[in-house]
Amino acid sequence: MRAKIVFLALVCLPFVLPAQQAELGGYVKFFAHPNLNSPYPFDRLGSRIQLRLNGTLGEQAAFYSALDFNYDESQSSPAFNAPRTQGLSIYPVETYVDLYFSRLDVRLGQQFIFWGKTDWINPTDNINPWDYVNISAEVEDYRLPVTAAKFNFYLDDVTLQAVLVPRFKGHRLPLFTPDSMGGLPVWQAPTQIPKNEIKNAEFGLKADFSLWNVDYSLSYYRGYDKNPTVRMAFDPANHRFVQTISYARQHVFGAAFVTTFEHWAIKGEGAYFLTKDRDGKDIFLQNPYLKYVLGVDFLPNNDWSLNFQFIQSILFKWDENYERSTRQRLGMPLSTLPHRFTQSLSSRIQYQMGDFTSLQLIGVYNLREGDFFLLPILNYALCDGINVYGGATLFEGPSGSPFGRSKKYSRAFFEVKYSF
Amino acid sequence: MKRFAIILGLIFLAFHLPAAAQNLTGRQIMEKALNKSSWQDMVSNVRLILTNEKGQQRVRKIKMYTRKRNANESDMLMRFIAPPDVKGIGFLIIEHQNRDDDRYLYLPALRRIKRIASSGKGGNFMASDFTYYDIGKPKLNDWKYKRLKDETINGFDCYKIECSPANEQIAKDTGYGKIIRWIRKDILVTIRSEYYDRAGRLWKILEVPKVENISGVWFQTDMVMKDVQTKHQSEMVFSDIKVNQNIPAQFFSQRYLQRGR
Repeated sequence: MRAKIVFLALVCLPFVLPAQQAELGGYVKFFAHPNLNSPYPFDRLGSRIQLRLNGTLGEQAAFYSALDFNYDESQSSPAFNAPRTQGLSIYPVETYVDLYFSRLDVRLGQQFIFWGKTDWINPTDNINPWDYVNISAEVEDYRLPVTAAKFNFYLDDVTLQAVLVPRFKGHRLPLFTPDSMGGLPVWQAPTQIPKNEIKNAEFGLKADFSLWNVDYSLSYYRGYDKNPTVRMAFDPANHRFVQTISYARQHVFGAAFVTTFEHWAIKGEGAYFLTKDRDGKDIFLQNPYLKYVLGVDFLPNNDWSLNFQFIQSILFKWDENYERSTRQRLGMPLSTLPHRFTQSLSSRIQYQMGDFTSLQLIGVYNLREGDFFLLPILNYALCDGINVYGGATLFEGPSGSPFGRSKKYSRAFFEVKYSF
Repeated sequence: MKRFAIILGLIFLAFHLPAAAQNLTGRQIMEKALNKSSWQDMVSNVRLILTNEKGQQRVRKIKMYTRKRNANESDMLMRFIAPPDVKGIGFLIIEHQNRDDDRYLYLPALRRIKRIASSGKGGNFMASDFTYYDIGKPKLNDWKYKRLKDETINGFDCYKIECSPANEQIAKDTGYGKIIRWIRKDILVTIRSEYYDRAGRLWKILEVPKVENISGVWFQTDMVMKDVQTKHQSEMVFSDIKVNQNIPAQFFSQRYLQRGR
């Protein structure tokens, strides 16, 4: 009922407000995502309408709201008595108000705030969580909005951004909880989520400026690791293992740069993550670490756009012997033992074939494990406003490797999108 | 006596103006054509129609804001208005005389501003047959000029000027080995151009079916660029042109690029 009211309000609002102030747009999309692992089930099959309403209130304010009405047949039951609404999900994509002042812009509401200057992998980008169970070609699918207050201060040559996220939200993950371990049952303790209190609010600061043809940004973010900390402990009283999921605080100090010359763009981004495991003695917590990306864009001509990047992570306070022996003592598999140095390569290759067809290939390859992720997307514009997409999200690699673990989520996709 | 002097002056001008025009060199004509406009900033709507060799069309509507920073540098901010699948995309170009332009692309689908590599002056403007060089103001010293025999185009008397790159770098940057321009004598506006590639083959033909005087400035408000090698065509139709609106300098910034509305 509430969804119907929201829908009606969205449709009617542009007619109520003066035409020059509000505008309704969005898209209708059909989607089919067959899984690529035998027996090829449809991971998703359905359609979506996204309604976007935006407008300006003079030069002082603006608003934006987008809602998704998503019907996924694969989430509904074919049973004779299944309700028709099964498989229907309605959720806000973004809804916010903008206020403009002479040197200040304020955005309040549910929104995406992405930091960073490199492609696809951004160590400084830690505000919006990822939706790892919903990886697709659309940012709105694989990232989750946060309710936040964002302040942009425009000083002469520097832009300062302050972000406040009052309530924590973690990544959506396909987390696996074993029923038993070593013949003993595993009990799942209630997840420990940071309480809804002001002291647990996350906040960030960023300064953007240019010097000698190079754009820089320096950032700091105080929040929580959006990956859960999963602890397993033996409970001798009940003769069982207890699995606890919690979220640990962290501070992220970041920097990024980009510059261009002729057909090239050189970019880099790095962040130091000061995790809660300051001395490296808690094997369930991630050690403090540095992650950085160095990359180049190259535009050889009007049709091609290429990006190549090198990514490295370095763990600090790292004692491999300690980590190994502690894991062995607790009976934990050594396959999950992290490495002090991990390196990856990523690329994005875009090719525009005439006015109607484009091809994009995004890939990430982990050098140590030899596992990779590939996202090829073919886009054919049937006409202005109607696009047909074909592609796949492919995970491949040895079992236990980061992408190898997600192998079962590999799927193709076919979508037709009508924008209005 | 005063009236006699005026009549004498008019007779003098009537005899000597054509002769003066006759004596102008190619460079002098180009200099006059380049220096005639007097606008500081401009706002307009642009309809960009792309037609491929099969006759299939794509139509883009763009809101364009331009400001001259000085004689050789300008800023440009563009926002796509239509079709709906590209609506909201913004593009900011900060032109520099002595180095590559700064180019920023705002992609609403990604919620990000991206600084992008320059595809050079010879790069295509918005995937059209116009290059950034074609839509910008040519720099007088970048070219050598040769005046050819005057011709009449669509009933208008025109100067015909052959422009050759002043050096190899200009040829490389623009991709052009030669440009032949037909410039209307009465208003000094180019109404036809032929672009030749560096191998000397005819590459593109520009036709200007419509010029309009807006606030005392002549604008090419309809331009058709045909690539004779690929059989592709792009048409730019300008409307609602407003000049000298006192657009503030800070408008041409990432702040307004992402505001998008």
